[in-house]
Amino acid sequence: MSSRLLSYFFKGGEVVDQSGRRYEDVAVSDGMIVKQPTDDAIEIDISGCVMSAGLVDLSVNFGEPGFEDVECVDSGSRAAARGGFTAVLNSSDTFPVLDCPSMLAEAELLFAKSICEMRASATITVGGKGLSLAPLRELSTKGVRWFSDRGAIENKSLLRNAMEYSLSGSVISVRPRSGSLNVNGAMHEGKWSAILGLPGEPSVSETSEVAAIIDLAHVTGARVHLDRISAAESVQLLREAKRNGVEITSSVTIQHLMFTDSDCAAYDPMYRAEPPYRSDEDRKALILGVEDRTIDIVVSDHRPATAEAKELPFDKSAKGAAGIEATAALLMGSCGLELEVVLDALSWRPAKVAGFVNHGNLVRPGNVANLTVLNPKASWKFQASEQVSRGRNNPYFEKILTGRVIHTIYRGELVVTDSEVVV
Amino acid sequence: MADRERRMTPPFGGVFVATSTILDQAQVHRALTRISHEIIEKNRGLDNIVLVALQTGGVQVAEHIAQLLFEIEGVDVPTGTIDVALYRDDIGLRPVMPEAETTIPVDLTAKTVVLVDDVLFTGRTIRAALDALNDFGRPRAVQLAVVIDRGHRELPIRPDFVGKNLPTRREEVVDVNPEGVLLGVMRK
Amino acid sequence: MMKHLLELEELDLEGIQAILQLTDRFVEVGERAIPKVPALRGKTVANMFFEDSTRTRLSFDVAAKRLSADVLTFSASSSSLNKGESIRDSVETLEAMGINAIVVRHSSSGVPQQISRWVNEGISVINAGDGWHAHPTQGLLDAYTVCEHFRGPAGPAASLQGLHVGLVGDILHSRVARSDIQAYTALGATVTLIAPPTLLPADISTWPVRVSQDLDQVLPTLDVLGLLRVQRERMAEGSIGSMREYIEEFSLTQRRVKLLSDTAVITHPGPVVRGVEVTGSVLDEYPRVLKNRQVSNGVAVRMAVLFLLLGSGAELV
Repeated sequence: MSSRLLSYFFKGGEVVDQSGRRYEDVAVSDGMIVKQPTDDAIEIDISGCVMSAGLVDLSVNFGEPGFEDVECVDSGSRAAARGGFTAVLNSSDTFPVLDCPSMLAEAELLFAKSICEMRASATITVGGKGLSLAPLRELSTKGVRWFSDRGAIENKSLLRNAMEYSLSGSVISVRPRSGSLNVNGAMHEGKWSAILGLPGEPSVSETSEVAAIIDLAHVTGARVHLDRISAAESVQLLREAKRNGVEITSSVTIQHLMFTDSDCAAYDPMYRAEPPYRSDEDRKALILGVEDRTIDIVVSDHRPATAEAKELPFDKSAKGAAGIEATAALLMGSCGLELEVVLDALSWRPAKVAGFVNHGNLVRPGNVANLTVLNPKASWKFQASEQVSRGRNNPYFEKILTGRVIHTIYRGELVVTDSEVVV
Repeated sequence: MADRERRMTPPFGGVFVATSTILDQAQVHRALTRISHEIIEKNRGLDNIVLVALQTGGVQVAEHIAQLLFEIEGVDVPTGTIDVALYRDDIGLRPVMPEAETTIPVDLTAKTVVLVDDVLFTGRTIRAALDALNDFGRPRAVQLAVVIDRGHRELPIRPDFVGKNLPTRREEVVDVNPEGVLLGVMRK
Repeated sequence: MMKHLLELEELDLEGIQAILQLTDRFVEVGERAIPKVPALRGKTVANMFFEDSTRTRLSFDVAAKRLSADVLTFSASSSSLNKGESIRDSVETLEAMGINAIVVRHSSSGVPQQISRWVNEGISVINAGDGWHAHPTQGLLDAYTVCEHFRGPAGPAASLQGLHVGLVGDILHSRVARSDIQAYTALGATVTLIAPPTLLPADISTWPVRVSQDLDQVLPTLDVLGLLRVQRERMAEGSIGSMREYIEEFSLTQRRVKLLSDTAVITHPGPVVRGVEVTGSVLDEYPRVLKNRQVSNGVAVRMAVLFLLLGSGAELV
């Protein structure tokens, strides 16, 4: 990075933010959005494109510490930037997990390599094992806002304690999943698991927990978030809860808006995930949930895996996809959603919910320049060779997508130009 | 016509179009009668003779010969059939399916087997038949009777009893059926 | 040209009938003094059995040898898999040694499919049983044996039209059940599944079968009673109550066997767990048990499959 940032003048684009849409040129200087371009500002033509606040991803795993063979902060953050993200929240299930201030300190050192804003989330329980509480209050004072065990927390008493014990301002994020209703499911339990002869995880293992967690959130008044829902009934339960005034947020992964259990028909481990991809009815209900804002946030849930881990038998293979570079494109072009809904789900709400104060704001002078330039109509092929992430488990390779990230500006620096990382 | 004949002649597969008649029904009957007498003469009677027809072209020919042998000598010669698909040396090179039955009614050890086929061409089918016969016992001798010998041998195989020698071009096809023997070509 | 045999859904009726017709030929070969033909001479078949199975492995072994093919046996317990070599690596090692077919058995569903995506052009993959999913040669040999008993040799148009088959036992975990259902229904038989609700797959509403929990009611209507194994582990898992309860409702006891018609036959893929799916003495005394015929036909069916994939050069629809 240079000692003095360059200035830019983005001309010809349409600005889309919380206050509406307008054709406006945007000037950036010294890390901020400014009223007038400086004399040495580099002019960049973005006609036909949309200028938006930078995108924010609340669920990524960039491998460090512990899984450096698969991804690291460097490659992960570059992948995020290429995907239009200026801020990400790293998952707590590193190795070792992030459950104490010393791990937090180490993480923050690692995050310095990132070319987007990177924050840590911590586990709710020690080691993520669901047995005893991690030092939530101390971690909060050190700056952690988001707490999540990646897996289920069976002990409801413990979960309730976490909700009551945590400092105000903390978000308790829970993956609604029963530990005992799973039976080691490898995919959604239904028509397809019967045909394929694979153990199934029924929707009820999620929905029974959603109901319980909503109740706890209501009773404790804590700031609770449902992490990665997958079933139609979960969306319905959330809709009712919100109508009754319960303050609760939720996220869905982009993969769950794209895939269903029928995609497992060829036993391709690329389609093994946690939670599993469910039926097409579930998928459609999830998209509707994003559309009517019942579901607040869409995440990439970027989980890189080695080729070998995805070449194991289906029921033993690694779960998840490394799709952060395609997430925005897919949400723009493949889900039938209005651009405002897309930006709300990928930028405005995640920034607000997770406390990224310099992101997801109005595009106007005085705000920090964390911006993304998107072309919602561009058609392009996602080439495996051009991918920046090291993860080989990308189900979008060689697919033609509509909607593309063109430029990404992080703190006033142009980190992605013409869809390629340039720093 | 024998599937085999069709399969072995370019353009492999297609429709048979006759160009001339080689033998009519009466002539075939006379030829087979002569062959039957020759079999009896060469073997000094029909003791220990077993007719084995090659599927599918030799089956009706063998039935005809068995009938004639009975009329001439009053002996019911045991008759079997053999499908040599599993013994061919060109397995995997072109479609080969053992579609027809193999039934050998007696142990062939010490017997004289007379293989019967409609057309003798490259000789590979007969070679396969000789291999197959070995799996049913050890014959004392094997002789070969065919209605037509059309030349183009690729192996040192020769018939003992021949209805007619017929020089042909490679791409021509010989069809032996109950009405007679036809010469023609395959058209795709 | 059909390259692999992974599941019976891939075959249509003509395809299944072609295999069964070919099986007639190989049954005949098996009855000869020298039950061997040179059809697959020079070809090599690799048996990759990641799950223990003596019967199926031996059956494929004999089938390959009767076709004069060479056999390589790769068994997981003694292999480099334990040293961390992946399945894919093992497959590539075998390929480098020069093989024409891989016969795979694995405890995880879908492994034969995955292997079929990794092998080079020209190598056939045959599923010898994957997880709960499929056991295609078992389905074929069961159908062939039933056809042979009721209708005679398969011929070019084998059919089980008009026959009623009942499958009893742990359907959920049974790949034999799934392949049997495919084979029997493709050939026109009616199939009824009899099992407690917890031993049936979650959603079989689209399957071409009937379901019943009343074995006594179904037995007199059956031409074929297919017994499936029930493992004791299901009790520990909570899928069924006590063993006594299971036997009361679903086992073929001395009392129940009298309900069968006097032409009905019993099939079992083996090995039999005497006392659970059937009372031992019942199996010994019943006059129409096809278990042994299933085993000998199994070799012929597997010869037919190997010949079709490696030798015939035929189009299999």
